[in-house]
Amino acid sequence: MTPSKLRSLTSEELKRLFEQLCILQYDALEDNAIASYNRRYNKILAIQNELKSRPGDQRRVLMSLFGHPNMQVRLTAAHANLAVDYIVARRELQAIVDEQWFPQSGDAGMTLWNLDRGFYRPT
Amino acid sequence: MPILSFIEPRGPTLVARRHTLACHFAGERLMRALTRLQALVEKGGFNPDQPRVPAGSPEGGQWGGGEGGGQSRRPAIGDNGGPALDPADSSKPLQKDKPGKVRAGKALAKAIARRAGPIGAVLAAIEAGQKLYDEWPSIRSYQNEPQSLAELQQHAGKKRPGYDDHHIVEQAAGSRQGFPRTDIDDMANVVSIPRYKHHEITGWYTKQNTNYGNLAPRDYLRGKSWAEHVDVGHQALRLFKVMK
Repeated sequence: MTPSKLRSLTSEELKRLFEQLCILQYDALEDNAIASYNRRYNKILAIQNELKSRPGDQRRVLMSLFGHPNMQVRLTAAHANLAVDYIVARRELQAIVDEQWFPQSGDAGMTLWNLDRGFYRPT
Repeated sequence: MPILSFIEPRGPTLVARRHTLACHFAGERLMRALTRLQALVEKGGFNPDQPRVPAGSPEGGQWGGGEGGGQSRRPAIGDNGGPALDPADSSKPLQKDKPGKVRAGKALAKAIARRAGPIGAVLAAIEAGQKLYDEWPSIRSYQNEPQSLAELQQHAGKKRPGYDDHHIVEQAAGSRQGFPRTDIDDMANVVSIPRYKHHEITGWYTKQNTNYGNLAPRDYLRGKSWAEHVDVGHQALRLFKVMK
């Protein structure tokens, strides 16, 4: 999807697209289909960049996906909001770690480790 | 009304509780039996990938070539000890079905790990049926509690069913960065870990990640020191609940 096409969508539509792509990523991980996961990664990144560019940093609309039944949706929404609301996004990452739902729990744990050692600074 | 009736439920509630308890104990017994079976399988050097003699011949279904195949195999007239004259073409559809089996095996392993409890595990296993027989060692190993680094290292190279050897500093890093092969294969760098955990950790290394500037950790680590590779490798083992 081109940047101009993304620009034509409302924030709510972008959120729904984000959700669908994350679910596809979840399925790809279950099948060990990493190339398929990575293809969706760039599309999700484009959605996040589009939301970030909107007045007031609209990535915060993704916070309504916290607690989503799909763990990959929760994880990616938490990642996307670390620069928007660090405390709340971090709490969501910790909740994913505590769920022990792998591989997402491992991924969330690695992110917390990288944040704590100052290696990763979300923007 | 007798005071006991307040303490101990009667009628349908009591019966239901007894059934629940009986189911729980049955589930626990079955899980213990499966654990014993797993130990026997490992002790016997069972390898689900070992080829079998195809159906239709007198030895149909018996183990063919491969490790451990010679233990119980008796030579027959005209037998030169080589592979079966009629190659086991029937194994091809099984190979085709392998990804589906692995996916189903992972789903079951995770269901058990996510505290479905023994009854849930047994029901899932019954539903999966014989289809997942080959995957059972991997399903079982996925339930392991995290172990110390020394414990993980001591089983490396043993080719246990349901486990893979995992290189803490990845093998590919050796050829890319010129780390000596002896260091890559050193016993300090190789651990035996549950197969499905191995898939999860390898997946983490190869998928793009915001933490690493949208690179896959494997690509980010290119050109980094041995110590940094080890640091990330140990942390991944810890956070994916393989290592204490």
